[in-house]
Amino acid sequence: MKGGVKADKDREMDAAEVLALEAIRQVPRAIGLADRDPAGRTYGCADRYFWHYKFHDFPNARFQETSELFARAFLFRHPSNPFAGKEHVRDWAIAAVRFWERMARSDGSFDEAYPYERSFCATAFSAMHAVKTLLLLSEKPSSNLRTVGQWLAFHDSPDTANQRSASAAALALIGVIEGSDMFGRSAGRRAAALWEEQTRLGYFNEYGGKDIGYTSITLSALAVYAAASGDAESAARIKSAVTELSTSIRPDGRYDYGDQSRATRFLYPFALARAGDAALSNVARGVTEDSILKPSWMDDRYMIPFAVDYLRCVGP
Amino acid sequence: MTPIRLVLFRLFLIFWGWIPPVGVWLHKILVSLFVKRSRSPYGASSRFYTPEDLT
Repeated sequence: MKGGVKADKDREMDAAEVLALEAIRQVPRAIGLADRDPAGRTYGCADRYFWHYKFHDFPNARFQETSELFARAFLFRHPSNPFAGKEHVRDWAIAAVRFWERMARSDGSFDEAYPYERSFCATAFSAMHAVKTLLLLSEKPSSNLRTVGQWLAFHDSPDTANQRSASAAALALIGVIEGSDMFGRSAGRRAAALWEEQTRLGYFNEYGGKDIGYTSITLSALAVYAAASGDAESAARIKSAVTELSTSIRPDGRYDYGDQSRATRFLYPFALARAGDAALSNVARGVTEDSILKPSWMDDRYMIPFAVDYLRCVGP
Repeated sequence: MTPIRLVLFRLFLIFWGWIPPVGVWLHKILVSLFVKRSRSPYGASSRFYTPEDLT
């Protein structure tokens, strides 16, 4: 969609293109985070603080979300994307997934902050990205993802809509790749519970309040869920929720940062792109004019999924 | 309930996760005491720079 954003003096780029190229500019940094030695024991690990500096004694599963960033960089055909079609980039995406698979605890959970954390957040988000990577690149899992799905289905995070939505997306994607209706049904129940709560409260719950930044993550993950599951009702509700969200987004891409329950200032744009909402142009303008928080301004931990969301805007 | 049945019943509850084994409880206690992040996840993604910080 045309966004009216002048990022190039010769032609006007559309908003999704602007965001995608901002994400592509983060790929070199992400590649540097990853162990790319195929002979190494930690090949595919993207937690440089673990495999290279050895500052950390165990890897953070969320760094393996680089898998989807690499996969999308490999697939995104654009004259300004030097990573498109490069087999090494595809290999690094797969290596990140394989290392993620080896990180799984025996119960299917993953750790982020400490050993045996069994983090719902890390499990839901890392699974969503890793399984999507396999689907994007037409690869099969090398481990039993049903254990991960079962763990996600039997656990929940009622205080954080964004984590619940990621779990719905992960369950739907695991259902697709494992060919199992059971996980698809679990995903549907998780999404239904989210919508019921959102209808009752009037917002997506983030630790007892509303947060625009995390609402955008919730809507992005729900969009991933809706696409994987074919849930047309969720897709329609996402569009309504996006319309409401976009009323908060100013022409320069900013919103009122005060009064957010988790004090966020970022905005994940994929749901706007998926809904064809004009506010996507405002976000692209904010990126171009350096007026909003964008992936390059975040630390390694948060840059990765944020850049993935920017690249999602150009599909697939 | 006889003592052996009580032991078997407790094993049954542990197996189904209704009574966590001592090791799991000890892990939870140690985590809440020593892992600061476990007590404050709310603002993890806050405090990144935006131009508003210059005003």
